[in-house]
Amino acid sequence: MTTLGALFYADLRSFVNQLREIRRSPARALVWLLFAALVAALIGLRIFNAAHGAGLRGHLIGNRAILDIIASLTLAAFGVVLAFGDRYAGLFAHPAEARFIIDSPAEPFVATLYVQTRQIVRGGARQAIGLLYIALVYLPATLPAAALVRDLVLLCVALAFTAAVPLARQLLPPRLIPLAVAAGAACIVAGLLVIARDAAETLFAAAPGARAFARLLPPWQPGNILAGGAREGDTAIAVLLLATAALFAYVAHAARDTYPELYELSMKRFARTERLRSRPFGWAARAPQSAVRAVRAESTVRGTPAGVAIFIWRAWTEYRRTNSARSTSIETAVVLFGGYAVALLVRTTDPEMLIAFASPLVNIVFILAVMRSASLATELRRPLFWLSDATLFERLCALGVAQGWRLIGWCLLAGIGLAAGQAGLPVVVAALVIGPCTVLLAGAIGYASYALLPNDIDQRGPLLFVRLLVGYVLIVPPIAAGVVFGLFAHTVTAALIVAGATTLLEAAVLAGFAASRLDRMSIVLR
Amino acid sequence: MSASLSVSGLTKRFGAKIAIEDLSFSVASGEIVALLGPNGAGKSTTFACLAGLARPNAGTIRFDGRQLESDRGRTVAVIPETPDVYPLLTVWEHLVFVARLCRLDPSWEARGDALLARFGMTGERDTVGNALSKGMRQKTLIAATVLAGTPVLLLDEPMIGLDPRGQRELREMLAELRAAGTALMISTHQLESAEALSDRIIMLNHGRVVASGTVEELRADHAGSLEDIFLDLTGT
Repeated sequence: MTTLGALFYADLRSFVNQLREIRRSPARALVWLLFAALVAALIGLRIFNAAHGAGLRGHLIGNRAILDIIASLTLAAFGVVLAFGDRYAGLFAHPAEARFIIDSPAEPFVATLYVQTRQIVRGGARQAIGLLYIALVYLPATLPAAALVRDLVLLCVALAFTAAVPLARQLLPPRLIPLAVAAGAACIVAGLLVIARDAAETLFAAAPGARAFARLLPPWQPGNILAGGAREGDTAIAVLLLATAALFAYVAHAARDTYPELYELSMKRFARTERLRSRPFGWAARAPQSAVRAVRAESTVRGTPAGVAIFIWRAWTEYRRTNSARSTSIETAVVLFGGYAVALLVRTTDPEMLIAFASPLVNIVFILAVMRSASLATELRRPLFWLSDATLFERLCALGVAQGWRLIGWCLLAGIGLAAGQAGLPVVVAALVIGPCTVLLAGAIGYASYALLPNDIDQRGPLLFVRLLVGYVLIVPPIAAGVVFGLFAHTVTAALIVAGATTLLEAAVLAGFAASRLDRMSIVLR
Repeated sequence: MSASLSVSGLTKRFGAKIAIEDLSFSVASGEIVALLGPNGAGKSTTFACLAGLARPNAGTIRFDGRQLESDRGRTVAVIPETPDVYPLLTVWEHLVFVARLCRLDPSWEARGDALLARFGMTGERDTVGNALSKGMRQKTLIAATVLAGTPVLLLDEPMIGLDPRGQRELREMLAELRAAGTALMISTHQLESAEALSDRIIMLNHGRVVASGTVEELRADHAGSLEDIFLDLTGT
């Protein structure tokens, strides 16, 4: 058997064995079936809506702006990757695989091509789940089924292309890096300008100078590619596929002489993935920038809290080790100013328009928070976690605060900014109370879903949707409690506090559920 | 010596597979018991059940007559084979973490210093977990766990990853813990270590106890060295 044959055999057997594992467990099989049914139902509903012209949103900002936002954000994301790269871009999935391929007689060009393709297919399958949801919800309901499918494929291919950039960029000759930075920056600016122009034409149309600003910018609408006919869509897909293939070929060609570099990059990525898996809200709790930077550090003793609150101290210490005072100051300033700017918007913009524009953004943030609040696996495997007479429930609650503290901090800072900008008491209370409570709820949903099916594949597959569904369902009781209380008390602020308290109660119930499930499970210390 | 940890009828199944079946044994305070067995014999599962990380299907685990529930973190501690430390905490902060989590009295700092000195890690006090070698991680975990002072300590392959000096220090420390009244269980494949360290040996095969007693008692029943007895009883 050739090296590639062996690799393909191993991948195929892994896949088949995973399917068998799922089939053996009724609970897992049920979740996967429900997931498939849910996706089918969403697609069916979407096609039905398209056929009957039933728009979920005949929204104020219009379909064109929605499509422009999706396309512009995709372009800007590509720009970020192109300009800044990803120091953790890697090729091999595992150290053993790397050694196997490097030591094998396989032609590096072919082996690298195979591994890259597999990586993109695997990563794409995971991304596609999130993308599918966003596309089904946010693409205009009037889009015909064929166009919807085409758009989904187009977005997947765009993601694949974007995902292929970082590794190729790592192998670029240094003299070409400034070019990549410039091209990436141009993409970011173009994407953001399109969003700003559309916002000026819709959201801030009444603001002085808004229309003039919009007229200054070219009338380019990247969203047209999503709303366009078969010809434009198919052409875009073909171009992106060709570009992706070209990037693959470039990396594969370079691999002839760069196995050691590719190995080193892959190991860095592997170590980082291991670290991120241990942290819910991984995107808000970044991994250390390098092991070298933090080889030695001044140990902290004073002011350390006792009991399970030590988890929060640990999270703070880890944060300090990976973030400079300057980056923390910048982050604080950005969030504070963001809150202040939103306050100005709240005061000057038509509330209906603001809600129409802000609600998809809030929704996306909520989706990301719920979907990324992931596994407890690494935490539970650490033996020191278990050393305490605190109950598992207490430990999970403390861990929830520890893992979400940065986002909670953002909410509190934004609340201060909102207050400074005189956004009104209800808006400030929403940031100060609802925000942190929702962060804790998102974390608790992650814990509960892990306790339900503590399998990494399930967590990244159907349980993403389950978490999201649970998240949406759990929004209802706080809203209901807030509305009922508000009707009686005639105060929005108090209603928001009641809603926050209900959210917190839900988080506690979920943490209790997770603790009780984990208590009955087997935890494997490695 | 009074029996401190007593296990009776312990059974754990994973689906249709029986990992351990009807295990009964006791470990007295101030005793070191080695748990031996081939791969898949059920050693790790036994430890997981004792540490409260796996819920047994049947059987009881008692400490000084009291049934252990899930909140046994101050009674039983386990040091696994793979030393999973916190990558961004320093060695000393691992001790701080345990001391504050377990609400130890202020004298812990002196004991922590002594533990680090004993393992030759004073110079690594401010090194973060990320930058430690496997052996150093192992020592950090052992130091942190010993600091917690649980009356029952379970060690899974504790010698693996330690340099000769570290192994000697660990042996001496285990002897001291035994003298101080800690009930110790060691799971290992290193038969020489087991023979040198332990007061008694429990041998598992296919999830069942196939032999139990002091090395002398085992030799009285079976001819040959501990290795011969092991190979004979486990069929490996």
